[in-house]
Amino acid sequence: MGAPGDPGCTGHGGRLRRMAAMPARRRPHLEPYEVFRQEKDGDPMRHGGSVMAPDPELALHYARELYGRRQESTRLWIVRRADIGVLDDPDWLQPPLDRSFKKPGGYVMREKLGQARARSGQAKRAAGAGRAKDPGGA
Amino acid sequence: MTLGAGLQPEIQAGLEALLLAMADDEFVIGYWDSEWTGIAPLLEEDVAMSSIAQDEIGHARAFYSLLGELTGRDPDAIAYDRPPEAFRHCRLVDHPRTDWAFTIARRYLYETADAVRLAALADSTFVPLAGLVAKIRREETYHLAHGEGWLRRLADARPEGRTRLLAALRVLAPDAATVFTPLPGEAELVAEGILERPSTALADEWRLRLAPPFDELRLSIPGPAADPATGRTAHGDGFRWLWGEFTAVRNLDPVATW
Repeated sequence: MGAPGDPGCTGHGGRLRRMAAMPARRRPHLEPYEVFRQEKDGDPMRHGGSVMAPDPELALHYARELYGRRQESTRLWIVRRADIGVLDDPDWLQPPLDRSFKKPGGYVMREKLGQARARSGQAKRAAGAGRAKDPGGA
Repeated sequence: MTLGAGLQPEIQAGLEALLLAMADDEFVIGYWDSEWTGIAPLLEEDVAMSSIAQDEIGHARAFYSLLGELTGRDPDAIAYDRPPEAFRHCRLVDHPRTDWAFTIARRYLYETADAVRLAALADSTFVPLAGLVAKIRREETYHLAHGEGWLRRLADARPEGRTRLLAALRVLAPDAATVFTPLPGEAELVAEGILERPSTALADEWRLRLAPPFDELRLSIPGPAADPATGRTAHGDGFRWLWGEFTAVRNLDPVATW
């Protein structure tokens, strides 16, 4: 079993790339599969960890034994690590120019929301359900 | 005191012409491409193209701001309060948005040319410009990759995608090299080390850079500009319409505080 979050690859420079870097001839018998699990119906799939397996079918079995045998999962996704596209280039993800205008946090919505609610005859929803300020990104 | 204090008048004039040309290029292509918002070929691409268009307008804002510091003028006034004939964008970006293949062909020609131009400013002796260019170049690497991905996709999509791409390249070819229209005062900028090499040398480098992908995809590399003398001054009706669009809100109330 590989460590969760082990990048399995090194270095920047490439843009989108595949995890696979090992030449076929030197590929060992086992290879890592990443396992995602859903705790209960409707939950998002979250990364659980990884398993080493010689083929996709056995990876399924191993994932079941390690991440599902205690009824702690309703669904597992098992993905060969080499098939995962990786993007971690800072030029793509963290460019240095000010991009605050791509986030809606700068817009003051409280008054407009209040007017819209008054027009539609809706009262303000219970606390926490309709936050007036949402700094989430676009 | 403005940023240009101490510069010789002819150097300052050359620098102003360079900044205005680059700002207008980014501004105009940004507005054309933002027209895809809501109507791009697929939802994810709609978000991507809109974001790229917004990036370009952000770059324009940065160049207009630098020009504003150099001249003591308000960047918004430079961007929005000029008549259409005072714009100095190149004719490559003057064409209307047209279809998706046209937008991609134009983006690719422009992004590759812009990359060569930005590289020639990376070590500029005008330090504020070199600093800004370093940031912008990092963002343009993604734009270039996006453009090249689409160029390949269309070039290989037979028959319709490729047919449309070839038609677009035929229309754009005579104007592609107008990105490198020599600027007034350019010789002084090169002599001062503000611009590494003259526009003609940059145009040659751009064509060399286009050769590998264009040869591989069997596309024709655009030749010299058909009408280089008016490469940044003769604007068409399409641009005048766009100008009416992007100045409309400002003109409702030019002194409003936003």
